Amino acid sequence: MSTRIPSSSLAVRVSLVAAALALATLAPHAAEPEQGAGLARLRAGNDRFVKSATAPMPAGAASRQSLVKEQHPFAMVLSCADSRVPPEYIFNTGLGELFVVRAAGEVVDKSVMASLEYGAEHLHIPLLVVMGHESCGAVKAAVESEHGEGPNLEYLVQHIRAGVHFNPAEKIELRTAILENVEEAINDAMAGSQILRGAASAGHLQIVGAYYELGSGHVEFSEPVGLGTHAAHK
Amino acid sequence: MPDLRPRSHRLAPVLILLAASASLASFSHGQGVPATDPLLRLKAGNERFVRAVADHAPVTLPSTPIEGAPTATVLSCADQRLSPDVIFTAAPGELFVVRSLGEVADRAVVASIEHSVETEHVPLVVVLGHDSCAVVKTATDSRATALSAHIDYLLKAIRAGLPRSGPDQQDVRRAVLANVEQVINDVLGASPSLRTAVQGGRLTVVGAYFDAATGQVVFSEPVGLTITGWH
Repeated sequence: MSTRIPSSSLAVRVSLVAAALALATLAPHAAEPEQGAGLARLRAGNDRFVKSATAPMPAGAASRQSLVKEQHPFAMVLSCADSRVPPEYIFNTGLGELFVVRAAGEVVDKSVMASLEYGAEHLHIPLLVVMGHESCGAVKAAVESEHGEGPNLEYLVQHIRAGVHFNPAEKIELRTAILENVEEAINDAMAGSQILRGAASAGHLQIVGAYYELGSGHVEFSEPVGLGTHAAHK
Repeated sequence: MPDLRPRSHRLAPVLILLAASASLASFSHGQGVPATDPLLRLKAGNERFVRAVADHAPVTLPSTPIEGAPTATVLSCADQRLSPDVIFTAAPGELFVVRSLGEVADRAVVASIEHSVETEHVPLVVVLGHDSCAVVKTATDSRATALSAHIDYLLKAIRAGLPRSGPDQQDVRRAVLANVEQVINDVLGASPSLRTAVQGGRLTVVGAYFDAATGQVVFSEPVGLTITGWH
């Protein structure tokens, strides 16, 4: 685990936890037009999904031949591997539109990091969404069980626990832990990757946190993440 | 963390994938496989997708979430041209999906798969490569250099599975299949609990290959744990 850094040197802080409830109505004012358009596309797609989970995929079979050669994803999504949260369904996108990286608890490890860097650097994807979800089993295991079973699961548990202020003595609300874990994943990605930091500070890459509600199908977005060293509390 | 790659020995040869992948589409079990067989469900779901592709019809996705454990765990590439949920026309809740570029398995990926098998009791793991995989293609070019340590890790991981003889452009498919095999070896090599599950008959592991032009997925035979190449 090479990406974990002390909290004092974190370059990025998201106000996701504090502001999550109000975020759905916030406009992405800081975004460049094209980046704002990507986020707007995701919001519109999620609206279609919320209204009808059977909304047909917009890019159907007809465009498949063009997919074979061309790569034009408008966003990359880092989300959990949980079977209930396929991003392509939640955002009602067709094939070719989303670059999707998934690991339990959206934990940022080497392959995940490399994937995000590749998306930003080689595919010039202008938007990164790091999405947690309601009732996340991986986060739940991290805040509720003492140890992961075996070294690999223990690694995952420790990774998540580092971001959620785990204290066995006090019960933490699962939703809060999930939002903190999203924040930590963004911090890990930014702190561990010069490529991602460079793309973000040059304005080529917008980064937002998100939270998916299983029951309603609704996705809440955070404000775009800034690269300042202080928290973006209002 | 211990480096998961490269490994000098291979636990789970998937060579049959390389040898027979062209004819696997018509592969049939022929031994009275139960209808609830998770692999058959994936195949049926992919057939729906392939028909939609052939008919230029909209892809209709099931909306009713399935109850209980996911049918399968799929480890695939992050590439936007494929989505395991879509190409298997899976219902929400049906597939546990882990994705990284080149389906390369770091420790979090291995742990994710373990989580699905140990906690959610998923009976089938599919490692899915796809045609024209850009990062595998890059890895086959020995002159290609990485822009960062992370991408270097990815390229090295993929190169570890590639045949030593210099592959040319036409061998991207072969390289993708070799990478699928390497990933399966890495995942099982790094996970005692997954090996135990395979040995105990609780878990089936297969390799697979997605062809974007037709939408078709072909599968390898289930992976065994024959150990080859011990020295």
